[in-house]
Amino acid sequence: MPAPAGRRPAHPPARSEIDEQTTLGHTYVRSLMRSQLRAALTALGALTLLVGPLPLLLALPAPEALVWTALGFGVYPVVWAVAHWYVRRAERNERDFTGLVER
Amino acid sequence: MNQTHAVAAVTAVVLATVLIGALGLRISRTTSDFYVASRTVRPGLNAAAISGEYLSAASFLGIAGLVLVQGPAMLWYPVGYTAGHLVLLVLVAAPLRRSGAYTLSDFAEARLESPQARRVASLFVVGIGWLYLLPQLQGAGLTLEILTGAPDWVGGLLVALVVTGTVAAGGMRSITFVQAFQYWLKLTALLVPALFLLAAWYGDGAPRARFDAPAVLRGHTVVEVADTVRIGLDDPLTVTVTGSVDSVAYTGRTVTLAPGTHHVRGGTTLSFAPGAELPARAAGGSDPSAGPSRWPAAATDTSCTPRTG
Repeated sequence: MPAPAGRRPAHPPARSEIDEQTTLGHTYVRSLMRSQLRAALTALGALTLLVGPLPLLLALPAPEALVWTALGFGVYPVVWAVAHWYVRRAERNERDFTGLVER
Repeated sequence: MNQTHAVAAVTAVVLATVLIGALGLRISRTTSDFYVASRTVRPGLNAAAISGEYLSAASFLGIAGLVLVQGPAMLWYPVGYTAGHLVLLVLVAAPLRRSGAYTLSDFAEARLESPQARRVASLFVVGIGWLYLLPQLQGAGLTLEILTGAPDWVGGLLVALVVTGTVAAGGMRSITFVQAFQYWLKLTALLVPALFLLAAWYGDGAPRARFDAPAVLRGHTVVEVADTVRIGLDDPLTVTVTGSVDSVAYTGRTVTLAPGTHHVRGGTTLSFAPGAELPARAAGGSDPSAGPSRWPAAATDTSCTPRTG
């Protein structure tokens, strides 16, 4: 419902800033997008750091059982944990944003 | 496998697929229904559906064969798929869902504000889908041919008809139900034989054979060499030969071949005693592309036909 003219609150809620596409509203959306991008890049970095060096490790003379364990079992919980962290982080970012906007 | 059983099993799976697809048919009415099942699919069901795609003919049949032939390093393939799913989640799935777009092309257009990007994305989606589809259809044809003796195009056509019908009629909801059903079916089909194999292996005293150990014939084995081949021997090999080895003709004589390269003429029959080591095909022979592959791999092509007696 539009606020009557002349009775705008001193600090309009973030939602109307976004709806009216003001610079401040733009900044709110921008900060959400940045935090989501940061979460994505962190997840990718974790994947690269945790799984990337594995070929080097397996290039060392290692028992075959280690190859089976690492590639057959070990990698999957790591990838799952990174994905789980990312989804939780992205949802928290959205909740924080909603909290900010619906304040 | 008994052909009647195979036909019955394939028919049962096809019927179940169509029935489960029809389950989604009644519900799919809106665009949102069609593309994202109106976001009503629970994560567990959705995970089963995505995993159903993951357990494709390639991973179902291909990885097992690759590990058998090349060793456990081939487990990098499934690791690659899994890491790929994470990259997909982070870079495509999450931003796509947040944008509210239904398809990759929608997302490309919305994000880059360019109809051109939409067209390029559509082309990529169709191209990648085609590359993914071809081996699946080939796998379907091959599997049905092996199981029932049907011509190799029947399997591909059957799969194409069932899947196209389900998607066209019921959209994402139908196909999610179908994929989830197939995931549990395929997982069962993988796990039950795997458990029986493990039990058999354990009952056999848990033998530990290395992948790079030379292949040894367990029984008396007769090999018909269809095409002329050069074999390399590290140790002397005693075989009974009917045909021509190193340009000397034999008729059922037992000879001991010295270490080195030997020339076996096409049409020759080699008879190995139990416990004999399978000779490797020599590099730089009449077929340079073949390389030093071992015969068990070559036994599937037409160059030689083993008969175990």
